[in-house]
Amino acid sequence: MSGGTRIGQDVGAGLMFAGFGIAGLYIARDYPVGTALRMEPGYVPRLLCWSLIAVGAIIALRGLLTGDSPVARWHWRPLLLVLAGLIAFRYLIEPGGLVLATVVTVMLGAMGSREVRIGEAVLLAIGLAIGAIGLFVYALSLPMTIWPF
Amino acid sequence: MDLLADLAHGFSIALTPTNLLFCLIGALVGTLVGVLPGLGPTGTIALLLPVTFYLSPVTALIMLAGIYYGAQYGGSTTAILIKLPGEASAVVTTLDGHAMAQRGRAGAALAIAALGSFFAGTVATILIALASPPLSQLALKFGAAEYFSLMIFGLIGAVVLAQGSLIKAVGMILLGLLLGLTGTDLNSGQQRFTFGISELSDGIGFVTLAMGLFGIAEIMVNLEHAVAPKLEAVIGRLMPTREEARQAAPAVVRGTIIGSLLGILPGGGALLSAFAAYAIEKKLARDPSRFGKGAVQGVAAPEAANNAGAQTSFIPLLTLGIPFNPVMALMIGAMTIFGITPGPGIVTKQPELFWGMIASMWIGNLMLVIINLPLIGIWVRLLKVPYRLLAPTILLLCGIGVYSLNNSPFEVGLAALFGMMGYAFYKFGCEPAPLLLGFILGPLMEENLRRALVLSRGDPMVFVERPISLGLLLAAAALLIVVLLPSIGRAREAAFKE
Repeated sequence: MSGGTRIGQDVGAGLMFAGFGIAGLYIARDYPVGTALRMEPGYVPRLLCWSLIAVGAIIALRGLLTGDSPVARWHWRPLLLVLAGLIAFRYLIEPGGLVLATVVTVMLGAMGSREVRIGEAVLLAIGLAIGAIGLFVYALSLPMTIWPF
Repeated sequence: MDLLADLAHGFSIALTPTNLLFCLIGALVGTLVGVLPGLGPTGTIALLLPVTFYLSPVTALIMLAGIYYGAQYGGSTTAILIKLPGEASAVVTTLDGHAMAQRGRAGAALAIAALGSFFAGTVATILIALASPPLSQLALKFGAAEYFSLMIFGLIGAVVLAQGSLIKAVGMILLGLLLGLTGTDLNSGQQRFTFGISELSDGIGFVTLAMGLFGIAEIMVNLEHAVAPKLEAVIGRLMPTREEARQAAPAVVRGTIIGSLLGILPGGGALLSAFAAYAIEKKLARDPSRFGKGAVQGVAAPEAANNAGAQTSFIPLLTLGIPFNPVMALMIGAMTIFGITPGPGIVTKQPELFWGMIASMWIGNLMLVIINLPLIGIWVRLLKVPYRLLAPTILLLCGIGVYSLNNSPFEVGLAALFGMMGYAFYKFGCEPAPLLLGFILGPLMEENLRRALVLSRGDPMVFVERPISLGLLLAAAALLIVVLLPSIGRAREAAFKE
């Protein structure tokens, strides 16, 4: 990603808000609406979604007309690896247990930094796995499995 | 006299060994996250919420409150010593605090910050004790219409006082309100925005949302620029000179007043108080050019203000049950976990909770002054822990924290999604705090709106016929008009630019 982004902060934010509004309208398309004095479950969502679209449009237009500060570069490495770490935790904790989830999450999280040192990260993962078992399973007695078997 | 008896009762609760211990733990953890850049009190409190299940409600809230004001003390330490604000509310302290450190007066700056914070904390504690009982008496008269109008006032205040772009804050509130609708509609049983996922039928978990937006997103952002702080820690003598003390004292008093007032307002709290106090000191000074070059007032006033603001923001929470900033929203989350209904009933129905918490705030402030000045060396050394080790540790704690709430792996995935959203918000210059407020207040507003309309048999005039409700709506309108006036809009921009 070397200077690829041309859209500014305001345009980006505006499109994001409008996008949420449009997605919300689509999802809520079948909810009954009712009237202002007898609101049904679809009334408030639709009101909020249209407001979001309007606010998003104003922000984006203002960004286009009055000059926009550019969006700071997205760093994909920390973004994706932190996400990967958390998603790994989500899928490993229940069948895999705390030790496996901890080691994989910590290793992925550590790789999110450009200064990662593998040996150090392995030590950290082992240390945190021991600490997590001690603190969460024994001291706080949270109901968690430790091993996959 | 009642007040003294109540306070004594509070102290008897706060001084039990367990509560003292957790007050200390909270204050120390708060200082720690205040010192460490990249982990704020909001993320930390969200992280520790599941742990508090194992404490009694009073003890848990004492600890969580300690984290919030402890962070105000810790944030100033790094701001002064290495020009790195550990905490957003300490940003202004970097200007003059670090300049003082470069002149060899780091010790004096630290002492002034700590003593000023303590003075402010003491005044704010007294203020909470004095103001809360009558306010909660007033709030007991509130019906659904008053609550709805109050929340309108709160949301508008949050927009007006938010950092950065007004209209983006509006967008974030709307988005928060929309996210808050997720789940089963109470009146009709209709599932809204659940995608047929059973875990979502009770709505999105507040802690999951806060942890994603504040905890996870912060890790991603902080990993971008590897922080390797340079330590030039010559702390020097702690005692301020007589001249420094003479300059600091009135600034501390002014900062305390500003912070106490702004803390009560919606959207207020530590951050805004510090900025406002600095701007006012600069206006009042005979020679404003000294600011940024090590003016004592530039440390004393914002440090007093951020601590006062951090504490008085508990007043609306404890008397009205309405959170005006994200940390208070988390405190509501904690109370709900314990089955305590936040609101005016707390003062009378839960006196041990209310007075115990107030007394513990003063004790915690005292601990922070006594403990922290000698411990500064240790805190500074902690800064040498590289972020590449801290980041995976915090990530793991977020994962375990979210999972342990309901033993639900699904919510961990949801937190990842909100983390990604938080990253995008950061890149697009959108503050996440208003979203969280909208999320909390949204369902409450809908409930009170519908209840008020049912009670008035569908007559919307109920909101302007009841005097308190009308007053709140007028105040909200006034806030809106004020901020839309071009001259004040410019002043607001200038205040946040500092």
